[in-house]
Amino acid sequence: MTQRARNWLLLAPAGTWFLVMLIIPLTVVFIFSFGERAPSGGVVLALTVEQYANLPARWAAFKNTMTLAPIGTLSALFIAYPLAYFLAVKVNPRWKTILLVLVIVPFWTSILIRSYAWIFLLGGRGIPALLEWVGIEGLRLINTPFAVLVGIIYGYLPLMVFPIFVSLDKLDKRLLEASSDLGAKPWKTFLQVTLPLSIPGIATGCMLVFILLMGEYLIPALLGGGKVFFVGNALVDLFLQSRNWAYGSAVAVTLVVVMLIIVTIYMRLISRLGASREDVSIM
Amino acid sequence: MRFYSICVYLFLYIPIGVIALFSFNAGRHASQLQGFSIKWYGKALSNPFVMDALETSLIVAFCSALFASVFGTMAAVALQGIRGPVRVAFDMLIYVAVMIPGIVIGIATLIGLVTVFDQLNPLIAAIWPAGFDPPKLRMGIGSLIAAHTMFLMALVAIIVRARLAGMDRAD
Repeated sequence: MTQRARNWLLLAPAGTWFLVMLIIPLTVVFIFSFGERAPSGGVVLALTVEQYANLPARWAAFKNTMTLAPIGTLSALFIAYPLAYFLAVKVNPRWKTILLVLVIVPFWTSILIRSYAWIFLLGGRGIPALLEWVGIEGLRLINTPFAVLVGIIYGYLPLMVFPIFVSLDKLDKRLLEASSDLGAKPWKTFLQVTLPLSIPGIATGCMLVFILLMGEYLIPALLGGGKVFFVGNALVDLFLQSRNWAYGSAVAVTLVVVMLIIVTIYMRLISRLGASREDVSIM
Repeated sequence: MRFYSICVYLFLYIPIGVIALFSFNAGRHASQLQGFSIKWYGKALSNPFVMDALETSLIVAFCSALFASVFGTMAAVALQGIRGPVRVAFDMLIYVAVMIPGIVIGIATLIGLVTVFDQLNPLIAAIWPAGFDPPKLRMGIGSLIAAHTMFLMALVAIIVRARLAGMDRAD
């Protein structure tokens, strides 16, 4: 068998799978997004941009997603970074593995179950009851954007810790000694050595978390109580409840296009940042 | 820094602890603890709905992990030796498969497959020999496994390719 034939055979199952389960479904959604709503629900094929013109009706879902996804990503970054730094640089190597495993273990539990825990913790008998005990009263946490934010940070923190840990762990610790031997203050060593060298980890972590947050729907559904809607929730509503497939398709296509644009710009920026850093290190 | 890390670990584990604690609650409601009991474990294990769901989860997880590992690895190995448009197309498909939100691909697969099945089922019935019941394509555990396999296959391909790229070629 020639090399060429072998490669084709190896690619055939994956190719078929992508065709049936990815290309065809996405094409159907794309075609439906130019259609009209059938009276009985479902879709009548057409060639109209009416659905796209109606997008502002779901503006709140887009606004929530586009604010809480970046805020959630940045919050997760700021919470995860010191922990990743502690695990990679400060902690006794004997404890490193077990502490790392402990970061990932919550991730093995279903996000559904973990979000239910937060319904209790943020609800009337959880944290608000504790706060009342110390004198702060009438605080409502559940079904607010804050609850959704806590839920998404909680859900995706492990995904942020790991890439940053990996990039900090690879970092040559002698660089830190050299920096301090040459008289740099600890914070200066951090800003000029540690932080720039951990940018690949930060970039990967942020990208992972951001992509997952843009499509999130479970956490807003459970902790937002129907008040803090994401685009994912709008899609579930449009396809499964109101059966407005044409409009739902337009929302889905818009979400995917927005994500593609953001991720592409982000990757460009990161690679430029990487390139400029190399210039600096050559000097 | 140590104190900070302890706080993060508490943040990670308190909610799980709460769930574990309430699983031993004798009372019915999650709002108050009413003594220790393991009766809910018995109820869960004897609930046919829960056990059916557990069985479905295990079957879907096992089958999609198996298919995804095999097909994803095959694709990654083949892509090592390919250049040109096929390579570009697969790179793009893998990227899109991982990037598109699960909720979008789930719904797209649902309406895509339902639409295609609606077209195919009369065709199959027409060409099927008379006197036999024609098979009917429908959504079910098969489509569930297929959809999970698609996403996981892309993940496997990415991971295996990263490994292969880091490997020295012996030949």
